[in-house]
Amino acid sequence: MKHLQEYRDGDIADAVARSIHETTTRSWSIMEVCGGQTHSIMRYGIDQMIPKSIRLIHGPGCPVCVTPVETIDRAQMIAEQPKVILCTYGDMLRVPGSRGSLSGLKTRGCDIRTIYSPLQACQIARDNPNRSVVLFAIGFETTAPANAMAIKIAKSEKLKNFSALVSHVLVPPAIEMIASDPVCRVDAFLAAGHVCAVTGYEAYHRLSEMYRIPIVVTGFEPVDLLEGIRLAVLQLEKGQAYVENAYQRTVAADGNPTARGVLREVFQVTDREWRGIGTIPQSGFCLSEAFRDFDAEVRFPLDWKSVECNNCRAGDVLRGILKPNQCEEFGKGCTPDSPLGAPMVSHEGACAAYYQFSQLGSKANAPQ
Amino acid sequence: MGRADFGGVVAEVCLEYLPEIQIGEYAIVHVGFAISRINESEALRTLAQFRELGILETDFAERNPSV
Ligand code: SF4
Repeated sequence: MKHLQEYRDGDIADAVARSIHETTTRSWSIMEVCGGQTHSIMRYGIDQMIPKSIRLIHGPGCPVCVTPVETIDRAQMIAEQPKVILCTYGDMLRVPGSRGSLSGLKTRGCDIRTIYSPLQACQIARDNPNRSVVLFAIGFETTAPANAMAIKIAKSEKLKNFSALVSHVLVPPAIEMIASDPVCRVDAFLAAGHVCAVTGYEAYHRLSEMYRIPIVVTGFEPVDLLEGIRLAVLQLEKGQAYVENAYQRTVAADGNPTARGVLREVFQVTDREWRGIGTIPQSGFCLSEAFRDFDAEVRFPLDWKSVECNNCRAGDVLRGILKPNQCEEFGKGCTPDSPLGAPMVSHEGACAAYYQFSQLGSKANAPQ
Repeated sequence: MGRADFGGVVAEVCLEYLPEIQIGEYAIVHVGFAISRINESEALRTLAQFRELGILETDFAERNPSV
């Protein structure tokens, strides 16, 4: 892709890293909120390129990881209903709920289909008028416009056999929860570039001012991440705190207004439980009144209380309190082949990132 | 719907959120939806900034003549 080479170029990355070394005089903790960025950091060894005094803390930005266990159980129970086809993103299949995983149900004969685009769920609904098609609509603000569009299409085409199990989460309230924690150890945030590509970054100004914390909109390539870190460190060293965009080629201040318009139409903001973390006020999307007819929770009312029942410390990992390799189960009771928690399953999960890239001898994997 | 080339693999992409995109331009695509156009002049400007900052001694446009 055009310019992708430069943003992966080792010499440019080294040069930006050198500049971080020259600027840094103190220790700082910087949280990358997005799990995709955690994976890039581990894959490219970004944590090894920067000064030892800069600590990268991995944030809660893994949608599959924060989807409540109750919602996962609910998806499974819906999939077990007669004539249902459950459509899900592949990452969700192996995430353990309290009664097993969706992939377990699939091998037992439930019709669970892996999709890469939510529009496929609309097509499946058109092709199967006698079946009830349920889209498992999870994700952050990056995925929400796609799911919203599928739901909007279902309404306009009167696809009565289509519904959505919606469990969307929003980034700014999660940043606020972390920043407002009295024992917050985060000095600066790298905001996820692809989330901001949709939402823009107006909402971050208030957070940055209120908690006096630099927030840098950052991309996913090695040079992007290093540049995000460089700008965050510059602000910290100068005692400044504002919102900065290190991902200008992709992110406009107002994001994607068309997508934001559709989000406002299809969804409304609601309190949402984050798995392992707890309920964060106004931190998710549910369907708006106008689209309530397409709510799978209304169509399949199920009474069920879920319980977490293993030693998984995902909540501590997602809040940046525990590094994945500090979890007692890491690499022993919990591996990608037999995961105890979602962070070991998802390609945005921090535990999977540490497991996958641990051979690289990353600093993060050294004994603490 | 449009078609996008992902480094050799061509797939259908929904362009509802990026109606202004032109043939030949680059976009961020997520779960089958183009959500953001890659602004080439901004891409070049950021790279040029690294040079201005003295971070880079060489001109990488020369080093990568195919760019
Ligand atoms: S290593 Fe496994 S058990 Fe430990 S926190 Fe990560 S997912 Fe949970």
